[in-house]
Amino acid sequence: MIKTRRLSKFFDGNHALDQVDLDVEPGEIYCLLGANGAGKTTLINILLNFIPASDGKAWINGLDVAEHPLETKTHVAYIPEQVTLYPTLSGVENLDYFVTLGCGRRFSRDRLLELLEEAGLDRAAADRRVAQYSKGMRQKVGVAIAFAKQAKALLLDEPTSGLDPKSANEFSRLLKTAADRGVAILMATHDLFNAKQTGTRIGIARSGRIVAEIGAREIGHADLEALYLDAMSA
Amino acid sequence: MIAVIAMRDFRGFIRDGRLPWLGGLALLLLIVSIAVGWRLQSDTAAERAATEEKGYATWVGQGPKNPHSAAHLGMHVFKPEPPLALFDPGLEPFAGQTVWLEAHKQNDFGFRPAQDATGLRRFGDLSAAYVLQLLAPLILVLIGFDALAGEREQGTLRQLASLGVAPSRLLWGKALAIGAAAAALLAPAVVLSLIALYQAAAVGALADNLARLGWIAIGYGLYLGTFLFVTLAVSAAAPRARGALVALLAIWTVATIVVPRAASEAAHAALPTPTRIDFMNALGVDLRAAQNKALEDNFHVKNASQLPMEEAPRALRVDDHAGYVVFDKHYNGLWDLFERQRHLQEWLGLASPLVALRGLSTSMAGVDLAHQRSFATAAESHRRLIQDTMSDNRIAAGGSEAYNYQASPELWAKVPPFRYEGPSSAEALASSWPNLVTLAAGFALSLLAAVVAARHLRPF
Repeated sequence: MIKTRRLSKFFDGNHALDQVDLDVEPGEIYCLLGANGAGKTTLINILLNFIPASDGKAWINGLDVAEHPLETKTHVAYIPEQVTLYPTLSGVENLDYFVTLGCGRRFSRDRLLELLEEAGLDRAAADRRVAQYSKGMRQKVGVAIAFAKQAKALLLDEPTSGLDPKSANEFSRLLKTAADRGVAILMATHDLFNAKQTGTRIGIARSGRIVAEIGAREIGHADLEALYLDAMSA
Repeated sequence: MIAVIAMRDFRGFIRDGRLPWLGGLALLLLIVSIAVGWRLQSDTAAERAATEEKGYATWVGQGPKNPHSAAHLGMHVFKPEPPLALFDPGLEPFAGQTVWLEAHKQNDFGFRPAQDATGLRRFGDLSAAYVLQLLAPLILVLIGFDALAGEREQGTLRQLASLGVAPSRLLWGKALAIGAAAAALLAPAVVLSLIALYQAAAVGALADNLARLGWIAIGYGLYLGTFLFVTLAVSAAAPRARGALVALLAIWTVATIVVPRAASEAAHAALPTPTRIDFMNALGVDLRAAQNKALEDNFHVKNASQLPMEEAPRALRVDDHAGYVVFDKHYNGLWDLFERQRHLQEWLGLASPLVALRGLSTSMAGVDLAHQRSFATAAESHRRLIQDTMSDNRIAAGGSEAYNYQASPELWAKVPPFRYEGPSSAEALASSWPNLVTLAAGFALSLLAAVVAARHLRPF
């Protein structure tokens, strides 16, 4: 579903991504761990065609993202580290707007409120203007936008950043439910615990390369931490 | 999708206060300017009609008199104010609205409202045209500068891009929202203008005035559309909303203040207008020469005093006709000079759509140079009709008692009241179509710039 081959990106001669080969199959949650500057966000930006690759190719649902920038977006949903919304609109109005644009049809208000509730935002907050929201509340609206689309692939860039532990746990549950429905999920994160708890496969990125890859069930928390530290210091 | 984007943006304009405050101010100015113009126009139109009627009554009620004396009394005629002058007064306050039709000389126009105005008039008249020419583009800039740059800056552009919203749809959605905001401001003003036009236009002239209003609406639509798409192009290209605002304010200043002013000054410098004293001196010299030559050619004398008394009426007629040619040469030369200045100004002003818009707006409102010239020509024809009618009667009376001759009052009625019908909307359009083409070209270029900028739109 999500696939890259020899994907590279140079910024001023530096490798942000260096010949990355990646496959995320339907039903899989691939957690990409790495320090800042490891290339996680660059990989997601190329998959979304926000920036062009310097070399190599990337596909979503079999479509080349550079050649079919708009078509690939119909198969993918995205949650950034900082979900940005319109401050003059309420949570439900933001959701209505983005969902209508993303899905090409309008949802009923009840369905929108349901989606927000599923994402962890209570009904009382849904009609308040987003200018009054905390970062966590905005993140929940972002989650609702992504899940409403019912895309075949999910690209998540530090999505639990700013969420309280309960919400982060609820978010993991939502991801697993989506994966059970056959959604392919690529999640970039710093959070080893979250990666181990949520992911089915874990990759470790360093200096634009994926230097280690392992099944989440094949490794314990302590071993994952040791592997990560090893990879970072190598 | 375009409508959804437009509705979101429109709601944003209302909620962040930009539309209610900026739009409300512009709307208030528009309505006040039209209402004040309407009131002034209806008051002055009634005054003019009454004065002109009274003037003609004085003419026909002169009683027995020498026709030469009657020709010297003459009459005052008034330029009818076009109904659309309430929207765009153009040259009206500066060019003069009445002229004294007097024997032997073509008088200058009098009653210029600008002469009676205070120094504040230097800042410009508050008219609907002024509001739409200067303030409306500024409001478009202030509403639209962050349309795309702001979305990029706050991160929502990335969210939209991830949902597969095509940049072109985003552009059209934004254009529709800003256009709808502008339409919301203009709609009450247009309705008020239509009512005022319906009230002010003479019977039979309504269709022509509606056609004029239609062309004015097209011109202003192209002008404001140009600013709309320039705003979106800059907003799409600028990395930050603040940068877009600074760039757009600079463009607004250059396009609405610097270029029109510079074009006007350059045109006057390149084709200077003679001073009034120089003009009158040159006219006087040519008049004397032409009249002397006419006397010599027709009567073989160098001075009218050398003629016998019974030839005086015929000599005066010859003298007047020699003067017509000289007046035509000098006044037409002056009008032609003004026309050349206007053409040069329009060429120099190609960098700003405002110069072309002013040309189109004043022409279609009936308050430009061509309409003023048309009235001046009609008034001069009427003056010559009065003069020739009086001279012919005096010649027909003949005899050595020419100076003592008194015509009966029936003669005065042979001169009809002055009735002026200005150029039609089709004639006005024929002279100002280059302005319309310039406006359309500016609009097309701005649209192209916006489409290209949107095509290269990056979410961050």
